[in-house]
Parts: sequence; structure tokens; C-alpha cells
Amino acid sequence: MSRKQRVEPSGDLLEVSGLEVEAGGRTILHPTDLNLGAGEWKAIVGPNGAGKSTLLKALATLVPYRGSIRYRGRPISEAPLAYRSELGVVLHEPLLYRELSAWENLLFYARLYGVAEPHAAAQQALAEVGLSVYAQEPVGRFSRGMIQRLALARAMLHQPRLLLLDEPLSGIDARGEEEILKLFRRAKEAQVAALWVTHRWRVAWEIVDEIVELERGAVRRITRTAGVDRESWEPSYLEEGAR
Amino acid sequence: MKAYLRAVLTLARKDALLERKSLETVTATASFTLLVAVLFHFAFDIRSAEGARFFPGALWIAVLFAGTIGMARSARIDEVEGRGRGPALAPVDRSALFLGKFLFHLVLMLLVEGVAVPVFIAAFALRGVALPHLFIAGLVLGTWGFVALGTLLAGATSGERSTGLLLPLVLFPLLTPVALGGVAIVTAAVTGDVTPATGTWLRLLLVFDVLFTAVPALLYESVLEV
Amino acid sequence: MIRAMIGAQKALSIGTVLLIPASLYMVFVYAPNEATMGVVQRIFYYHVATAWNGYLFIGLVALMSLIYLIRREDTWNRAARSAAELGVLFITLTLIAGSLWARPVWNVWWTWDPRLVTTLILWFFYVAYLLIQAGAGESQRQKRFAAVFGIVGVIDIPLVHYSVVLWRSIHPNVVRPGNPGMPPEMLITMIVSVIAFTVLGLYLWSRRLEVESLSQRVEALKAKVLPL
Repeated sequence: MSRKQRVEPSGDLLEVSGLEVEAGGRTILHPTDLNLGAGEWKAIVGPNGAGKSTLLKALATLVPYRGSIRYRGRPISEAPLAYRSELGVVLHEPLLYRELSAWENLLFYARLYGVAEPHAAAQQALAEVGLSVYAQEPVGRFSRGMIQRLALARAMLHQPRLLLLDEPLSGIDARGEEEILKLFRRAKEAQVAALWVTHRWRVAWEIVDEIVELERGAVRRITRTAGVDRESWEPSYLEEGAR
Repeated sequence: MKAYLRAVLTLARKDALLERKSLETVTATASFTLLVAVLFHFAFDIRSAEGARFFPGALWIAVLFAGTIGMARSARIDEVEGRGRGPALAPVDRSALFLGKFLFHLVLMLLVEGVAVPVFIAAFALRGVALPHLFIAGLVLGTWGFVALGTLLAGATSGERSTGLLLPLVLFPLLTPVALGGVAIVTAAVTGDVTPATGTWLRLLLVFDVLFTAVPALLYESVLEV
Repeated sequence: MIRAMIGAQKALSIGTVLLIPASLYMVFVYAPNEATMGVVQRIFYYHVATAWNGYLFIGLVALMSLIYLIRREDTWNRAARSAAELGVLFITLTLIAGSLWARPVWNVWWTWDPRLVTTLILWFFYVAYLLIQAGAGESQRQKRFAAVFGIVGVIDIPLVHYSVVLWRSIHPNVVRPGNPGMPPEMLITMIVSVIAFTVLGLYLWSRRLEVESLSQRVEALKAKVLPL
């Protein structure tokens, strides 16, 4: 069911307008607009508590929200399953079962997503994040970095068209990071779009097209990376602190 | 529809796989049931003549208490590191998450009962069950309704620090029809004394089961989100 | 709807002030003494009235809960919680009044009659509901759980009642369709009492709703002054 033909509409892949999230009487995310074309990558940068993770969770339909989210021109509430089948999510939590092996985790998710050949998909996903050797190890024995890689494998198992990534590089060592970035570049070339929440904008810079700065639950500034010098750019919340 | 059923089975199989690794829930639940049998003996000093009178109630008390403990534990497993959210991201209707859990709990409880019933029959010195089919029907129908409501409420209370305390308090008042009906049917099956009321109890339990499988499936999504 | 309830407060308060003394007069002066039970029977008028309110408020809990699950606005959650508080009050009064009546008439404080059992289960349900709400705090998920529980409870109560009836029954069926089973003076007194208590119950609820709406405004102001 996930391998249906994909009709590319003329407009953007994801159109978000007036997205608002409230919790306990407080507004965590003020009405926010955001668009994402196919193959477009945007980094989301901001201080702690800016609402970055909340934005991703709302887009992943995990928290109640107000406003409109349209995917391929259709409101996602009309076809939530079609939307979720093209969505890959890495949250702060790895969403893996520690008692099960890496292989069992991926096989479970592959089946749940209705991937046509779950075994092949799980094998390929493990290979892509360099964990094939550890397939039979229980996830509970993995290091933080390995868990993060497996979380990425889980998110990309069903070949999503849109990635929501919350600090996907945290805990991953330098060599692993190079591999993951390669994986991201390949995904981008394959027209996969992504929202990438990160504190390390310098690393993300080479891949993303735009940096969106969030502060106090609202978009503060948007910077196109093309034509801007990475070394001279600073997030606005840091600039203020320096002043 | 096929994809939906496959998702339900995949979810139930995942829980079964997790359970097989540790066998913690099934061991705890089964041994708790057996402990109740022993405690009943201590408390009421049951002689063989009274066995049939106490057996149905003791069996149901054991099943309800042990099952509540088991479901509370099983729900907390999903709460670790918020991983219950993982399946919620999959392209399946979220009612499948409920049905998967329900199916796992139902199979688990029926297995536990499979162990408990022979032990209870021996402990209460029954010479056997007069109407085994009715006995099984009553046990299965009662367990179904119990597990369906229990799965919903265990999932909903799992985020709470006081899960263990809260679950029986919210669950047991709603289970009155299961407790009364279950005991009535098992009593009729043990003694062979079937009345028109027995049929009514069976129908009442069936209504309860269908209702409280359908309603939680619809409502489960709202207790899942964070 | 909630604003309408708060708006109706004045009318409800006037209604309460007029109806409660009227019902008192009717219960103690107007209604005749019952032949076998004597004066004790007069408890019945308030017993029925509080019981009816207990059931009315569980309906309100379920309705408010349903709206809360659809709209996700805290106002409805607060309305459901306030309704449950009144529900537990009225059911407690029902149980106490029933017990006071049962001692001289049935010669026991408590008996396992279906209506008593259903009412007791309803009381347990309300207490469990308020326990969930007490633990909810700021947690949206716990509030939604309370709403789910409220809805499941109201669906369950008829089944509970039916199952307890099937189990056993000795409660006097005073009000049966087609046969009131009591003189008109008693019937009118009962109806007036029920109406008086309903108006009182709704008045208390509207006061509670007003307090909730004020506390919500205070919290909104606080959030404005101290944004996180």
C-alpha cells in the first residue's frame, strides 16, 4: 500500500499555515506558516523551549493542533494514512524496543508499515546506517550513537518522501556522522524533503536550503543558505546574547 | 481491510515477542492466580462439600485481580521512552493499536486461565465440571469484556505514577456485569443447573463485549497522544 | 452553552429560593402521612430528587466529555469535572437518605438491592472519575482519559443496572408507568421536590462554571505576564 504511484502536484509537498499548539493553557507554538517543496531541506534552529520539537510532533500528528497542514495539496486530516505512509520521523525518543534485537525492531516496523518485502527492507535499512553486523544484538546493549542510527533506519525503512528529524546526529561519532550525512545527501537527491531540528547548524548548512529560526514558539528569521557565508552567520538568539 | 488486520496481528505479535523474551507478565499473572486459590483456602477453610459454592467466585476474583496487574504492567512497557508513539506514526488507523493490544492481552489471559482452571478445580475439590462448553463460553465471554475495558484503561493510566493504584479503582466499578455474569454462568456450568437466566447472562456478556470492544477502539486515539 | 448556563444563574437562583421552601412546605405539611411507614416515608421525596440529580449529572459529565474530546477546549473539561463534583454530592446524599429510610422500614441500613447496588457503583464511578481528574494537573492526556472514562461510564451504567436486576430485586417500585401507586398529593410533592432539586443542582453547577471561567481568565492573564 505504500508503493502507490506518486503524482507530483505543481505546488509544494507540504504547506503549513496558521499551525498553533497549546498545552495546559499556554501557547507552545504561535500560528506558524511553513512550506516545503519536494527535495527541499530546511533546518530548524532555536534556543531550548522554542517549540522546535513541538512543531515536529504536530506535523507528525502526535499532538493536537489548530491550523492547516496540507500534504500534496490535501489536508492531512482527510487522508491521514496516506500522509503517514510517506512520513519518516526521528523523535528525541528512539521509539525502539530495547528487549528486541535491531533486526526484530526493524522487521516489526516494516510489517506495520505494510512494506512489500519486509525482510529485504529491514536488511537494506540496517546496511545503510552501518549496523548489519549488529543485527541480532538486543537494542538494550547499543550505545547512544548506535541507537540513534537504528532510529534513523527505522524512520527511513519505508522510503518516506518527507522526513521530520529531531537532532538525528546526537550521540553519533565523527565517522558515523559522515555516513549519516551521506545518507541524507542521497535522500535529498532522491527528492525526499526534510525538516531538520538541530543545534549544529554548521553541519546542516551544506545540506539544507534554508535555516528557519524559531524563538518563543514563533518564526524569528529565515535565511537562505545559498550565497551566505557559513562562517559569518550566527543564530539571532546567540547574537543577542553577545551584545 | 486486509492491511488493517495484518497491522493488528503484527502489533499483537510484537507484544507476544516481547513477552516471550522475559515471560515476566505471564509468570507473574499465572502465579498470582494460583496464590489466590491458596489464600481462599486459608481464608475459608473449604471442605469438599462447599467447593462448588466458592469455586466460581474465587476463580473470577483471581482472574480479575491477576489480569489487572498483568495489563498494568504490559501497558507500562509501552510507556518506556515514549515508544508507544512509534506505532502511532505508522500508516494504520489508530484503532488497530487498541485491537492489537487487546488481542495480545486476551490470548495471555486465556493462557493463564488454562493453567489456573485445573488447579482451581483440584483446590476446590470439584469432581469435574457438569457442562464444559458452557464453562468455556462463560470464561471466554467474561474475559473478553474484562480485557477489552482493561486494555483501554490500562493504556490510559500508564502515564500515571500511580497506575497500579488507579487502574483497579477505575476498572472494577465498570466490570460489574462481567463479575456478576461470569460468576452466574460458571456456577451454572459447574452445577449443571441451567436456568433461563443463564441464557440472558450469556447475551448480556456478549452485548458488553461487543460494545466495549467497539467504543474503546474509537476512543483509544485520544488517550494515546501526548 | 456554558455561557448560557452562567447567564441563567440569576433565574436559577430565584427559582431555587422559591422552589426549595415550597417543596419543604409540601413535604412536611401538604403531603399526607403514609399509612404503614409513617413520617419516615417523607425522606422519599428528597431521596428521589437527589437520585435523579445524580443521574442527570452523570449524563452531563458524559456530554461535556464528548464535546471536550471533539473540541479539545479546556472549558469543557472543567464543565465535566464540575458536573462530576455535583454528581458525587447528590449520589452521596441519595445513599445516606436511602440508608436512613431503610433502617426503620427494611430493618437494615443496607441491602443488596439492584437500585442500591447500581447507585453504589455509580458513586464508585464518580469517585474514580474525580481521582483521575485530581491527578491530571496540566496533563492534557489525563484530561482526555477522564473524558473517555466519563463516556464509557455512561454507556456502562445501564448494563450495570440490568445485570444487577438480573441478579436480584426487592426495591419497592414506587413509580411504574401507568400506575403511580400513590395518592396525588404525594405524587405532586415528589414532582415539586424533583424540580426544586434540579433547579438547585443546576444553580450550583452554574456557580461552579463561573468560578472555573474566572480561574481560566486568571491563568490566561498569568500566561501573558509570565510567558514560558
